[in-house]
Amino acid sequence: MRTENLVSNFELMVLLALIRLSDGAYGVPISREIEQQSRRPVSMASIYAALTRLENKGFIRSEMGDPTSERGGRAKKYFKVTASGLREVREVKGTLARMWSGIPDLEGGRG
Amino acid sequence: LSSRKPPGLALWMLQHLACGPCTEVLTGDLLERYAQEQSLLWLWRQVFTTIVRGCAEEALAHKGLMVRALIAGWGAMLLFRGFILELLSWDIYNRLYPSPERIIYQNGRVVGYELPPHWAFSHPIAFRISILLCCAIAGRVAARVGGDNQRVALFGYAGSLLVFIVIEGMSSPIQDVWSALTMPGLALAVTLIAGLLPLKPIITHFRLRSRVK
Repeated sequence: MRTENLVSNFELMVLLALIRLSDGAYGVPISREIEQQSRRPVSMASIYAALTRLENKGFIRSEMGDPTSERGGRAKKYFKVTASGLREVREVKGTLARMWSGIPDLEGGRG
Repeated sequence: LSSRKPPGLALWMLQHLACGPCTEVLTGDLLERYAQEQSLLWLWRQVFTTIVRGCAEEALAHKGLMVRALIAGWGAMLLFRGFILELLSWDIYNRLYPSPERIIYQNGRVVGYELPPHWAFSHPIAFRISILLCCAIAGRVAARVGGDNQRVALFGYAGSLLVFIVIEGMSSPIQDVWSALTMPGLALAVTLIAGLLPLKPIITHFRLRSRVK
């Protein structure tokens, strides 16, 4: 059984945020997207920790942008989901859907 | 867009205390969000989370380095503590100028001197300074073991020192809170400062100054 590349709940949220943002996804819009959808604050450090793990697993790739004055001369780091990342998201969705279908209490928005 | 400037201390802390490969980018993101929409409280919370979480993540990612840093830090601490306390117990003044009643004679010859046991322990300030000196040496040694990841090694060792202080503090009765917090706080601060202090630029600066003179 494959265990080393399983994505955690938070990593899945980050992956989905990247897919929703498509181009131009860097720390700030990713954190905003997750905060808006989950309706709770998230720390930038936890987002970058998840992004680093996802990149190590090969689910995303990154490239550096240009430095801007607004960021104190610091560059942005843009992230994109790879083909294996997309495959992983689909797999997780399928697994969760199958797990969900057997529990009547959680179906139809109840519970 | 607003052009709010972040507090200098927050920036300094991010630059000097945060660990991890994305620290620069993350700092930029924090500054951007703070300038655009977030509060000062949000920024400080993010700064502390970034430092603690970043160092914990890096420590977990470099387990071998952590083991080396802990061995080196605690080894240096125990070695120098023993050495410095022994040196202080030596009572240099009394050796050089022993009072007649302390001189030990054997067959009319001076064979030694009676020394008060644990001289250092009877002088609380000397004892405390010696402990702080040990902390500084141990912090420096632990950081040096880290190589390119000096902060990670130092924070790992400082974390273990904090755990030790908490356990020791819990096992001994507290007489007053101030003195119970002062020495551990100083020990941790000295460890971190000694580990983080960039010695090379300081030495180069003084060398250049002495050459100019």
